[in-house]
Amino acid sequence: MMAKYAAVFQLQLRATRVYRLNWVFSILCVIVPLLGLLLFWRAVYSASPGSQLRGYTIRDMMTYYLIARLVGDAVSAEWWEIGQNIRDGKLHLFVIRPIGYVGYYFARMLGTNVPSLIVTLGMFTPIIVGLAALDMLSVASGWSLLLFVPSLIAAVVLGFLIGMASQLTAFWTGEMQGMESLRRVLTGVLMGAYFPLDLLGPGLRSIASYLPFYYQLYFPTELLIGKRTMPQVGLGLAIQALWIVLLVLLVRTLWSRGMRRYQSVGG
Amino acid sequence: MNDIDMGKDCAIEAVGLGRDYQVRSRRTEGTFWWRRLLARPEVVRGLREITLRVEHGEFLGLIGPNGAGKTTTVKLLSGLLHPTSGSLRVQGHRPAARSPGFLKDIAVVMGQHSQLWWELPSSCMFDLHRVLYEIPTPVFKERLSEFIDLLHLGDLVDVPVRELSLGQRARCQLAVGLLHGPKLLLLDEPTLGLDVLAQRQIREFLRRYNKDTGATVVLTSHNMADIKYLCARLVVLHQGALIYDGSISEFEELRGNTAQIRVGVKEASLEGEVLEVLRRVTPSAACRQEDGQLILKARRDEVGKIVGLLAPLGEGIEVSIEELSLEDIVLEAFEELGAPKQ
Repeated sequence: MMAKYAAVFQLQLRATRVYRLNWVFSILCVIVPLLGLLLFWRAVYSASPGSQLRGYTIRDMMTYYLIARLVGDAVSAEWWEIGQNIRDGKLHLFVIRPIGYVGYYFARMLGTNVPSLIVTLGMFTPIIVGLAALDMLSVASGWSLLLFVPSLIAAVVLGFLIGMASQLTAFWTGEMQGMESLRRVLTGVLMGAYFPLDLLGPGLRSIASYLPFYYQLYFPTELLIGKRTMPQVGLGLAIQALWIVLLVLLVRTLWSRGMRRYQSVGG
Repeated sequence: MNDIDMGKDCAIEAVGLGRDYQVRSRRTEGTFWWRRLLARPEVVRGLREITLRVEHGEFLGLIGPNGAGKTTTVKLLSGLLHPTSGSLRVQGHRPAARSPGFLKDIAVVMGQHSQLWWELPSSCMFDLHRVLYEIPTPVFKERLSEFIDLLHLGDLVDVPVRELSLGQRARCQLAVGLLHGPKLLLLDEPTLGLDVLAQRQIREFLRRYNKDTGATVVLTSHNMADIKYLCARLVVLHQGALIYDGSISEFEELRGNTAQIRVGVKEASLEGEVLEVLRRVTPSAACRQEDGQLILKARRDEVGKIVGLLAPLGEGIEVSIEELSLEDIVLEAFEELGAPKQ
């Protein structure tokens, strides 16, 4: 059974490799605005050297954007074609193959995100080394560093489940790209893709920390920067696991209900 | 009750097979999606009590105007839809259960959708399907080289799909779709949009596959040349009901008018006379006028009589007789049936 998904994963690796030149450009497209942001925050902090913004020093801020970018690459899973397949009837071709549809896309997501993470990491290395030389990097040590790995893996799974759940709504909603774009921007804020959620203040941050998006990006990132205490990290990992369970149930329900609806509406 | 053993003696056995759809009211179309969700669904009958038995190895053509229930039938046969009434067995399985054994026994190939990956050569897809369908390597190798040969694929299998022409892609897709050696093929417009050569290659391949492997084929197509060339049996659907099931030649006979007579009138004064003669032969049949010619459809056995009556008009007219194509006959039949209620 695993062999099937492994084959899909390998195939996706191959397909992803075809676009390697595209990648270099798209990563450059990421690095340029990132440098802009780093310069922006340096200017903000230079107003009063040594200051903190809601607990973030300039080193924390620099590190945050770098790590968030790396994690973001690993956890993004926007497979527009799933909604497309549902809408245009191509789903038929997929569901008659002896492989689960959701698992098939999970393997494809891994085949896209794993190499993407590796390449981004490679391209970021000079920046990371440079910042470390300037003593502009603040990375947690010891346990936090170790716990970053499971939290990142969980975040990847979570990102996939969130993306899948939103695509599967196509069973009910038909064409709604506008809504989908709005969702992406909102969840982008809620997961901390634009700025550290601590900047929102403790109230809003704690509200966000009950939502799954928080655990898709912000949690592993702040964990790596060393912003959280050990009990907080433990609780965070537990909530992450809980969200995964809930979202697996949600995706399963959406899929089976959606298929039933697909079958009743037909064409 | 054993699921597999029942109905294994034929490829398809449908008894009183029916399928209803629930559709949202048309009036709410275009308003907010939540209104569409709240609208009360209406029941539309996609397929009405169809009884059909298809033996192993048959090549069946499924035709009908848009909305006749062809797609519904293919979806039912492949297990995508559950029947609302009646019973259906395909290769001895209940399709809607979509058991692994059933999935390995069938293939669906659609002209307008491809499962190939744009950026990869089709050979990658062959490998994927070898794993997905657990095809033993020797079987895989033999079948693949046979398909490459029969479909004239050659080195095309190593070219990224995005660089292939539509016809080349369609042939690769067919090879991928049939690699697991399905016993039932469900083909939905497999030659859609293809040039004549590609159509012919695909047709030839399907005929060979059907003959060599004894697989059953159900072909849905608007391309009557495909149907005529391939199908020994024709099933015509209209508004969800089965209105014809038999051979193509019987269908043509049943329709009656299989010949077309064109009368070119060189002298305008003779036109009235010609019309008079034609009306005498078949008072009901309407004469069409096109490019200064009078066109009349007739049964084959009437042709002689009509020509005989026209003969005395002599040099002033030109008469030519053509065989009507299946396409013309089907088109005429569909026109008579009227547009479907969409």
